Amino acid sequence: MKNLVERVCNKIIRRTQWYDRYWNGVQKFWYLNRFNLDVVNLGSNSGKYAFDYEGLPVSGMNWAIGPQSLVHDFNILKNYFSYLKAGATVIISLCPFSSLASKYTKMTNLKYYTFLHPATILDFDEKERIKALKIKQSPIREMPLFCIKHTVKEVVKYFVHKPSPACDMEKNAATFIDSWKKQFGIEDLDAPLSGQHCKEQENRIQVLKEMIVFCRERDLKPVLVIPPVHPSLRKRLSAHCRENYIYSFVRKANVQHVPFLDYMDDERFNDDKCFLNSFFMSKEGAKMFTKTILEDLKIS
Amino acid sequence: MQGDGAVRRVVRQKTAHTLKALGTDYLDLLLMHWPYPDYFEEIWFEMENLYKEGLVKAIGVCNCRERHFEKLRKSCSVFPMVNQFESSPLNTKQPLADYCRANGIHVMIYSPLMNLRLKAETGYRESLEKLAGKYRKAIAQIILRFDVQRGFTPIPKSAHKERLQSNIDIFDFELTKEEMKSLSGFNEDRQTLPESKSCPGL
Repeated sequence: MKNLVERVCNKIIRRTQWYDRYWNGVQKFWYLNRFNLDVVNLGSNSGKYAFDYEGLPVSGMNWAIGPQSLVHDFNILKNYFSYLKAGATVIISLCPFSSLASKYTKMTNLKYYTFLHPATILDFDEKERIKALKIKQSPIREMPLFCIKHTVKEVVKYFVHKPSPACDMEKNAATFIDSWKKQFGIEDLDAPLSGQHCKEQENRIQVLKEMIVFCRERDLKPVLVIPPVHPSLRKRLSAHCRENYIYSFVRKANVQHVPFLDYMDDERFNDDKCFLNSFFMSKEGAKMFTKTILEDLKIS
Repeated sequence: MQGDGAVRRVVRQKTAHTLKALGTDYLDLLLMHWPYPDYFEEIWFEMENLYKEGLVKAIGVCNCRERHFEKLRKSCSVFPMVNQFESSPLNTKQPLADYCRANGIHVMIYSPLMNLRLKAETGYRESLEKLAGKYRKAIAQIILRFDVQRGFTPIPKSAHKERLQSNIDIFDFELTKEEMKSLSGFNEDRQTLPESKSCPGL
């Protein structure tokens, strides 16, 4: 009886949105059973929200996870490239600050234990691995109060549905800029890179170079992409800032001259309906963007 | 090469343990389970030494692609004699098989019957059943025969005596060229065991 209750609880929990958010959407790798994929995209949150292959005439999957660094993008590719067909396209989705190293906590690292090979997990810790696998197996047993609290909250939210207010894009863009400055320790976005940032960028250049070589060696086609951002955010990323953090990084890493598609200023995606907030695309925007990029790459 | 030779020492220790466990002074074949990205050439180097010392009569690799062999070719003194990988009519890996044949590498097939668990394209199962009826064999035997006629050595695993007997009983019939071609036509490059999940970056 106890087992039955546990199983039922876990089944309910696994269908909730909070549980999906808890694992940052990595469940798509737990049950992955699609082979010979034509195209996949990697990336952090911006990539996660920018791509949607549903209804398109290709076999594609969004492998982006947020938050995520380029190093983990590479680890996902190393672990899952067997699912791609020969000649498949690998879209490496970049954010404005992909060239910098962001700090990660044990909590943000936990998800990787559930779907990556231990050899590819940064700062591997066996205790963390056991913890992650136990939660994955039975969330209600491992964190009962947390599960009950969040599930009840979600049920209440479902019945007492309040439409979320429209996003104030200007305010949201300012918040994103502030949080990035804080996250990466940047004082002035237009100033040249600090010594520390130069070092971090050098490391990331090496990672991106290796990713490109890795794809080429395995008959995969890498493409570097910057997804669209809302005009309110776009205008806050000056030419100096973009040159320092994005374009010089891409130029130095892309010595093999793989296609680089920059949609940051693409005016086809100016409409508010394309975005959830100033940085993340909406489902509608993602579908439109994915269709556009596949056409540009002549994949569809 | 790693400075302290740790990887090479492990290869030697594992071989010594196996020899002890089997109670013999040599092994017929020693295979590298995966082309481990960071240690591939170093492991192979030590396997070559074991081969040259006569402790193993043949050495080979598993799950290697053409690029792995070409990498080894640049540094090895003994080229792999065997490549063991997963294959079936649903995943023929024909270019790799051709490469192995052209380079004198014998192909072994692991999990040759695992593909029967997959949902395959319509017609695959029916085709196997038709051939099984024609030759009065089980569909597993048809697949094993298909492998043998491709020049491969399938190594099915079973703990059941009857199945073990059945898996060997495949040498009293022969699939026609058309039947071989028809079975190969079901290829969809479908992996049963995604290699990159077991050996990231291989």
